[in-house]
Amino acid sequence: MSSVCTLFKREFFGYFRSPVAYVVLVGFHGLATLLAFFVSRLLKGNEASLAAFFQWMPWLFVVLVPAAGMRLWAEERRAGTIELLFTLPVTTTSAVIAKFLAAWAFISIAVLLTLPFAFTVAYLGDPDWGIIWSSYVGSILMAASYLGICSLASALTRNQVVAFIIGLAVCLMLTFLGLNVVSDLMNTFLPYWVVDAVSNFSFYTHFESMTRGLIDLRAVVFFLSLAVITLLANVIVLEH
Amino acid sequence: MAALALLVLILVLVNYLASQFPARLDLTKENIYTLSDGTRSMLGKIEEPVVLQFYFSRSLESLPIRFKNYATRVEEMLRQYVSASGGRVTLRVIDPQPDTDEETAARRAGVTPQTLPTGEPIYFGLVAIQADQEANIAFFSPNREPFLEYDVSQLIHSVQQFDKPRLGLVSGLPLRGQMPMGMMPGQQPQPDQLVLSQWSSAFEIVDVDESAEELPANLDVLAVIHPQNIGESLLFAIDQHLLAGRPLIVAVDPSSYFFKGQQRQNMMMMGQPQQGVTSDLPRLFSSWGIEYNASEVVGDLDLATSVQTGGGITSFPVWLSLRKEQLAAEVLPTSSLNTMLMIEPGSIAVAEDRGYEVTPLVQSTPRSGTVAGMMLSFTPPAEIARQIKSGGAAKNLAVMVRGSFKSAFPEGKPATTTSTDSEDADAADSASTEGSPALAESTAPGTLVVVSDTDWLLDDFSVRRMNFLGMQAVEPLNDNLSFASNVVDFLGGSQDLITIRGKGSAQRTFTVIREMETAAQERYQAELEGLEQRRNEIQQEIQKLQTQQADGRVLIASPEVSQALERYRVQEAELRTSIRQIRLSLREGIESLQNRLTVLNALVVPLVVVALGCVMLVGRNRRQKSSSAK
Repeated sequence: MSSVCTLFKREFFGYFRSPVAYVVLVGFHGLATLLAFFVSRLLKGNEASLAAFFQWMPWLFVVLVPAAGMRLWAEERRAGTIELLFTLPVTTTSAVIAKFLAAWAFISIAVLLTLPFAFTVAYLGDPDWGIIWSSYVGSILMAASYLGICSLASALTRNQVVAFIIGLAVCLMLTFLGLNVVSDLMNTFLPYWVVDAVSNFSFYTHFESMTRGLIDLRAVVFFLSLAVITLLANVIVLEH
Repeated sequence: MAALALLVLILVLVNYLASQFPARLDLTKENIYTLSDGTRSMLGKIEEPVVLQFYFSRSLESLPIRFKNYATRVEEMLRQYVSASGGRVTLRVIDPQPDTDEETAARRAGVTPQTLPTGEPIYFGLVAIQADQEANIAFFSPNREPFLEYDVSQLIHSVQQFDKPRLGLVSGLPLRGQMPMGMMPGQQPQPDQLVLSQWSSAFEIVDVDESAEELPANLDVLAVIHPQNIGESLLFAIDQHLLAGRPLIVAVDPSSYFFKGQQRQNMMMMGQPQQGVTSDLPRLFSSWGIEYNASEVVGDLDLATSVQTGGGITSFPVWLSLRKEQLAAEVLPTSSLNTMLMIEPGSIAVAEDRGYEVTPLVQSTPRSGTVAGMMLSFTPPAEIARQIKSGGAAKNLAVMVRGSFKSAFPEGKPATTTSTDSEDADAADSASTEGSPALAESTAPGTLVVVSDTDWLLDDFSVRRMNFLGMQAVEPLNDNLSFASNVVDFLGGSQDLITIRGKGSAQRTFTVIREMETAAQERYQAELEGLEQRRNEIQQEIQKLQTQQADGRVLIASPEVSQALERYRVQEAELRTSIRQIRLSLREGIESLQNRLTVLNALVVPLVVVALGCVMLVGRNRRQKSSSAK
């Protein structure tokens, strides 16, 4: 446990020792602002809610999370520091957990940097804070499963770019599954219960209920179980 | 590899298990996804098991996503009913495929399909069954989503009712058909007003004479319409009815158009005036905290009704044609209505210190004012319009009040004037027998609806009768009768259900921007009024000049008239420009506020992050340099 804690600190503060982290934070914020204020026109809709912003969250994560997760293991592999890491008295599992938690904390900071959007809406009107908090909780939980996938992708290769692309592709696919166009397309050649089951493995479906102010056990279990399973796979991949 | 496959299997299994245990946390302010206490209380009273059959064509290929999402919401809601009922409600979800037994069953149960643009039928309804009682919601319209809980609760409640609920009716207005005076043999008596047949479809109407001493027992709802000569004892009974937590509807009128018509006829025929033009319940209203002035009529320039009269079309500012905006959208009795017509209504205010829950159902616009009811008979409409002084606030024309009421008879039942051996009193299954003490205050929260007009209930102002191929057909002119039946249905349903409110319909708007808009509107409203006044003055001036000219028999515009017109044109142009400028500056004000906020959002956080980054990185470089220098 203490090894997880130490490693977490090293990894987490490690982010802020490189200029890349600041670029990622500013980039994420810039993209979020662009989508919320210019594409969705958050302030022009005369509706005191952040729904127009949160609908973009899965798409923002599709870009941000692979960018934050690609270096987790690929970088260590390339630089050869992975052997060094495993000479330290830490188990693979605790290393995986620590790196994951550090990256998750970093992404959560990026997400919470958009809180001023909520304050802006609250200044102009009287939004339902319950819905806003549940959307933030949903975003952070969803980030965990995106990150689990990207961490696994990063462990599979020593090339960061390849890790990024694998992560992006899988995340994109899991996001797409919940879209109507896709389920309509699948409806044409699959029975509806298969389509329903597949749609249930989409980020979009689960995240959507949270942006309505409903924290559903199924969504929480989905996001966390996906994170845990991908991290277990991560451990298995690293140990082989 | 096997380990990875196992992991995927575990993932699927865990999520499958989780989907079997629906548990959720509703974080919304109004708890829109949680069953309300009223529904829970109603479910707690179920004695015989209720079966819900939810029909939804889920496997339909061309199913619009709007229906799919809403059906998920409905199904989740129904599952909540099941879990809250402690096993007394069971749910069957049925997907009626075309040409199957399920489809036939759906149709037989009254679930009516809607046809999609592709031509396929979509079933989306609910059937509730208890013993041999059955009721249905034929189709769940997504437009009624705010009232989903009410509709389902009402359905479950309705199958548990074996008898029609009883509606007591005390009316000073002749809603029952009357025998015309000097009726010839074979002549048909006048039919009842249609509102009675509306009410009798769901209620057993129990007529109570105004001279009665008591109310019949077991009334579920009581309606008091245009009270005229209600005796003390009956007033006491009405008071106790409300205090016992049973719903009451009162319709009073400062100026009954119906009775004014009767009065005119009587004056002509017999030369005697008839009473009954105004109605009030002063004693009850004052103890219940209802403020209503029976001598004042509400006029509203924005809602004035155009009426075809002998002299062409005249606009009547005291005949209010109410639009959707004047009818409360978030409460059931008025939510689905579009128009209403009220004839010379009064206004109702509710004392604020009683702690009531007050819901205005029908309101005038802020441009309304009051005029004395006495004046209406001999003042032309145009003059009435001029006399209406806008108070700047909307007036309540119908209001629903819920809470604990105080009795108008704190000292108990008044001594009856008639002797107790009257046969009626003995026969009547007395609601407040000698044994039960009088209530001084509500024992259970009561619901009172007060409407400040009575003419709206009459056929003359609610329907048009047509003769269609020898058949009498009736076409509604407005939603007056729907309002009448909605209010009675709503109040006469389960008392638990009255507390269920529409959810999720409250739009949260940007109040700051709205306030800016209102402020600007007020500014140019003043300018507009100034312009209007100036125009009138100039018109009078021109008229005066023209009459002077007419005396001199000159028909061409004199230089004075031309000058006055010119002055007016210049001033009008100036005022219009200034109004335009106010609007422009409002738009600019809103836009610049939005732009400022956007820029703040776009810049502040990145600047802080960059600044922090610089501090961190520069500090670290320094430390590294200094440590390497050592």
